[in-house]
Amino acid sequence: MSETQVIQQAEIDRQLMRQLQEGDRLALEAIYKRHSRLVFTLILRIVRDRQESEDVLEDVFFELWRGAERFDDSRGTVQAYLVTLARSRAIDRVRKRDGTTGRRPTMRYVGDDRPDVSASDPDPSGDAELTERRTQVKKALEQLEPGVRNLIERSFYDGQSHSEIAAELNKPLGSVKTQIRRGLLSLAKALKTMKSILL
Amino acid sequence: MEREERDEQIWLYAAGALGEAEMQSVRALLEAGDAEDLASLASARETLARLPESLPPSEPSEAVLNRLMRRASTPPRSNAKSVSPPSPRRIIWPTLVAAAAALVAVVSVLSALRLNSEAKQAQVQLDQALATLESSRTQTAREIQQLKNEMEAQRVASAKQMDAILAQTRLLFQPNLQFTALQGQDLPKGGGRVVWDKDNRKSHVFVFDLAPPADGKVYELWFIGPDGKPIPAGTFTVDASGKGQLDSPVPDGMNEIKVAAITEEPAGGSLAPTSPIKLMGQVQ
Repeated sequence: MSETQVIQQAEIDRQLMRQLQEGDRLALEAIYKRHSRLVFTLILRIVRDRQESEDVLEDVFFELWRGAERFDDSRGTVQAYLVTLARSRAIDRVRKRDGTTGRRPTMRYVGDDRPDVSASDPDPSGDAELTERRTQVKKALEQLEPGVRNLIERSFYDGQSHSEIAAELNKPLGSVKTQIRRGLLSLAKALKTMKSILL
Repeated sequence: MEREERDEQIWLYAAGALGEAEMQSVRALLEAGDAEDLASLASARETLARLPESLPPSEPSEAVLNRLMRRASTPPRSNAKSVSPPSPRRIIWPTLVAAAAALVAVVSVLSALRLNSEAKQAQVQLDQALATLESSRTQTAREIQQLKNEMEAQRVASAKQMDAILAQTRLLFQPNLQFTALQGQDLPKGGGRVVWDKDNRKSHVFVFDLAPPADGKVYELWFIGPDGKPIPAGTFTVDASGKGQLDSPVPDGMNEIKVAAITEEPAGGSLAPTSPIKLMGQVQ
């Protein structure tokens, strides 16, 4: 997807959010259809239970609806807002369910909780742009050292703090912080995240 | 805090990799509203928002959207201050429990207020519906009364018409009748008849094709005896078709009538004709 297309998609989202903020239910439905799969994929990765994930997904979009005025398009894209919100709510759900504050034991997908496609499959919607974006992110992640990628995943998907990660992996705290930050910056560079898109 | 250190903290904050104390510190930093800090946070969030794109995609069931749209039947809140996306901060359980309790209380109060508000709104709508119904009922009653009045007027008119027809029929059965034709005097059309009921000393005048009298005027019947003096015998007017009728007794002391005539006079009639004769007939 070209930079122009990314900007166009972000602008469409902004327009939809403005309509949603005015109480347009069709705009909510449109935003849901544009982002629900990505948001659900993230929630399922964190919660690892399809039914619970669908509950969280519904809550996230309902929160977007009820708290539409909280979205400020000068602070970022709709996707970033939804992902931040969904990640937070999904981790909250897991902590409430499991009674934990740190990383959960690694779980495998079982039964209906398994993703609809494997990581190497093309996008099931047949959308070439989505497939391209997915490939781009995967390549960016593959450029990271496996250890650094693991640190990012622990913090982003599992909600572990750098001190918890450092303690669990028996690594120096400063090293964990630096590796996470550098990993993210490398990722940003590889993904060519543009501030001009955002601000 | 140096720029690089600030950026590091902000990126770790966005990734949810800070402890609670550091989270608080970064939040305070961001609340200062430094443009570079906010740009750094936005950049971090945009980068992180793309991470899920690498995961094997999963589709939620259609039921989620259906449930969402049902829940979203009330409009979103508005006119509130814009704030950043929720912070990925860690939850302290006592705080969470207190917050949840407060939230439940607020939701309960809001629900009660909303129910109360909805009840009031429903009452207002009901009142409006009742007012509309009452207005409609009043209007219908008014229309019914108007129809009744019209029907009564028609009944009275019909009764009068029937009485007139019966009277005319009875008149025609009188044994001693005399007829006098009334001719138009310099009129393009128009005429009439006088039926004399000599036994009862009554006259019955019928006119036709006569133009309605001018505004403020009526037609007046005159009987003229051998002395040539007109005696007023009553006033009348005509309907839209030019028809008119007058029943008039023959004045006492008037034993012989030579001429019957009709003129146009001011409303209320005149004691002596003030205008030319419209219709006239010689009584044989």
